[in-house]
Amino acid sequence: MGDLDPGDFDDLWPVPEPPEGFARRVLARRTRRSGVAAAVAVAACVLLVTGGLWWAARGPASGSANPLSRSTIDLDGRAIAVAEAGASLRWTVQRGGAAGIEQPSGDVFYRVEPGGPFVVNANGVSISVTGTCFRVEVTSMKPMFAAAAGAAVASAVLVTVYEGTVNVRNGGAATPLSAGEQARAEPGSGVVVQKPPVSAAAGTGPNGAPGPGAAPTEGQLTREQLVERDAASRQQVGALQARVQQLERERQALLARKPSEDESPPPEAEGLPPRGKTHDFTSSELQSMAHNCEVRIDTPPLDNEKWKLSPDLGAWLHLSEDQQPRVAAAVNKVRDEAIARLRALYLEATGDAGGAQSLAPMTLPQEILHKSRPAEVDAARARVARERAGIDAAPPDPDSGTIPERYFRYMVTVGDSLQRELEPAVGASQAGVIRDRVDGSRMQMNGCKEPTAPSSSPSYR
Amino acid sequence: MRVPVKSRPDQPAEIDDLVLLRAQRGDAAASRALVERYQRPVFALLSRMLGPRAPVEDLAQETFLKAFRALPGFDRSGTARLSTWLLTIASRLAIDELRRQGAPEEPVDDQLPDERALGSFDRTALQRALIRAVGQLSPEQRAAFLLREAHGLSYQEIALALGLELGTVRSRLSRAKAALRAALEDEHG
Repeated sequence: MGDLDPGDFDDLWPVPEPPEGFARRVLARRTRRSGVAAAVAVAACVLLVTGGLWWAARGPASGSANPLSRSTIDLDGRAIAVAEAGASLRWTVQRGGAAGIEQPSGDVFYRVEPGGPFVVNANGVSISVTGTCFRVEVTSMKPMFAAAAGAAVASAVLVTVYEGTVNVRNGGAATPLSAGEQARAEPGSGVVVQKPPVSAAAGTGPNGAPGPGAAPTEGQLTREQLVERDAASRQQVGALQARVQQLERERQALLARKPSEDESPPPEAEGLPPRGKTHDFTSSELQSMAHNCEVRIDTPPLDNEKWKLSPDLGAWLHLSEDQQPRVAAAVNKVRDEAIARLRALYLEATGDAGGAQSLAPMTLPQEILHKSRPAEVDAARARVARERAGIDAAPPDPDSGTIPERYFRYMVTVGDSLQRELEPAVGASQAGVIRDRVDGSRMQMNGCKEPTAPSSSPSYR
Repeated sequence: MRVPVKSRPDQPAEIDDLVLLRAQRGDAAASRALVERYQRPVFALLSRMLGPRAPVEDLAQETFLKAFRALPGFDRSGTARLSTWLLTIASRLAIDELRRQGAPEEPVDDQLPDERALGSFDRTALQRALIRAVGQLSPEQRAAFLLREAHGLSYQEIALALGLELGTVRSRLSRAKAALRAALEDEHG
């Protein structure tokens, strides 16, 4: 069945016309609702007081469930739990609304109403929350590992947060988890956050109705939709982890390979900076790099999405609430500039305007260099390395020269730009630390294909 | 930039921006014009999703009341069209109602076309098969199918309306169409 024209569909499946006076009745109901709004507000206050008195007067409620198939359980008004077959849970809700849940096994999804403390204890891992939507999965571990790990946790606990925040504690300090994050707690491993936050959902209109042009918020999604999205994310994470492992294997293989004579660094290469160092080079290090035709580049992450400061990194850096958005803004400013510059260079190299806009930013460096002749790329790298060392003069106009030349000349400055942007927010020393911790790209390219004698009169376009 | 969709011959363009602005400010005449403009697609969606025995008018009223509450925040220059936004609200109300009722209901006999009132037998049989097959879809599949086929929404708009990933919309529509195809083949032998 292909797509029908909507007009054809109406012919095929006619429906009755709206009844007479429908619009009038809608507007009448709307007016009545506005009129009673004030009265409802007063009544709500009365109900709150009355309800509070009733809540305070009643005793604690408790219960337990070991469902054989998926079951939706009302935890005495504090939360709805959707427990999968095989899950086990016991709960107690105190008079003031404080709720304690024991979940020794299984997979349970919780949607918690705001109120007092709400704590799920899953085999020694505690998850505390004040109003949110999350899922706790308790999985048995291999017996040998569980025995070796001791009694603290005999199982792995996976916590996924869909809305709000929770604190996960596995013996040590509590780890905060936000919407879109997932944490795994295993014996002796504390709490490991496995996923960065997902991008925030688009906004909503007033009264919780869907905002124009906006995706529904987390609160509007059903459990099935949240879990489905979570499953998709897990698949992506799994694929990425597999890719990382593959790259790691390739890296190990490359490290193990004995370099051929052609690849050995020339005698002048002695004195190169340590492997992995990408900034704050000494003068002698720059000289050695020039002799090795070497440039080292570091950039912030050039992902499609804006960079976000993870709670872990924020906490590790002891950034204040004021500093955190400033750090993110600085990183994203440099990221945006770098992507714009790379897109412009790609466009100039290829004339492909569509590709310049649609290609993933992180693929652009490779694409730009592949569009140039290898000899031109090598010459550009050698020239920029010499400029960095002060052997050759940089051109008066940094935007002059061949495309690969301009590419290298720009890229070797991106990390420094990032550090400069960060300094007003966090100070000079911490700016350097953050520069190294944003998990961006690091590139080290070297090897001279031609004699490296300084050109006496470099020509620039 | 607005998403282009198939236009219906009997469906006028979106409501005029000025009328919309007045409705956003609570003007009664503009609000009435808004309801009269969009009531037909809203009723059509709810009727087809729920069947004639459902409280279609109640849910249609609820759709517009929800819309009026949120209307001041509607971005007239945004990407969403007002009709798509209203159908979003209506489809979510209908899905909730179907879930409240339980499993997908069997097709309702009095929704099926009266063979004497319609043309050839073949067309009537096709109509009966279509309505019966749609009645057997899950609420979300039903909504996705009708938003696409009866209202001409794009996959992207359906994804936004139902809070699904684009790929999920494609797969649900594909499954819905496969189910319909099988049902229609059964009906026609």
